[in-house]
Amino acid sequence: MDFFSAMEIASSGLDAQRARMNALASNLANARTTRTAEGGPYKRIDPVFQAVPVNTDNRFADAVANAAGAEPTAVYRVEVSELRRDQAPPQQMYDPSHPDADERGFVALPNVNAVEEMVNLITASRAYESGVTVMQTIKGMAQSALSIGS
Amino acid sequence: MAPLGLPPALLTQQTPIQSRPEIAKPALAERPLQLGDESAVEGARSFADHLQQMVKEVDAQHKTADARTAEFAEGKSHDIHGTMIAMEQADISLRTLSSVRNRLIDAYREVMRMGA
Repeated sequence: MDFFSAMEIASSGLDAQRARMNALASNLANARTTRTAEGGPYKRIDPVFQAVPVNTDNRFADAVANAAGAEPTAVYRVEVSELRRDQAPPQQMYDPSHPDADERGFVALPNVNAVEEMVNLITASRAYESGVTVMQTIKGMAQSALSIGS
Repeated sequence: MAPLGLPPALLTQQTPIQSRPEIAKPALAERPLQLGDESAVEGARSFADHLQQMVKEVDAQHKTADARTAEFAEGKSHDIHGTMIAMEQADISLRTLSSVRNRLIDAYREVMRMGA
């Protein structure tokens, strides 16, 4: 375990937040999209994160420790496990002139809530910043370790 | 033999520089760069070997950083933080190597000053 491992972990956090930002951008861009390849309105996507042990040598020991109910021996980086489709029902809007309106005149709009997405946007941005702060702190620690000799 | 206040063991341990191949000869140029070359000292790797390996690792990190920067500049990659992190890692590695090298040179000069 060295400084570079910490950097890899922080880097995986930055990757994860960037993936989340991609999903948010997709949701906001498609907030009024009524046509998709699979048919129906766009459904909002949400990344699901998964912890992956960093030290692969310890994976077996970690599994044993987990099974025994002990504390894990490894630290974890984060990976995007999947992009989940939110199955919440679409919003209904009355607009009979819309080409995708049903026989009652309602258009099914994506289940994207712009306010919710904006809150997630701020959270993702702050999480990214905290990852960058971790990175800068690691760098500062490495540099101060190097100044021990001088 | 003890006017410097050094423990006698430390003074008697000193071997002539000529009998220490890793200092007397330019080991970096003479030996082919090879990982896991353990022929220098039986059963143990000399400091020069470790230094060589460190140089190679730092070089590899710089090449990675260069490649990622080039990819980013050419538009093949859009991984901003990955590029920055590769550059930072290369920077820290180089600083570490430079510190080790400075300490080594200091120690060598110290030994050379012993006769004067």
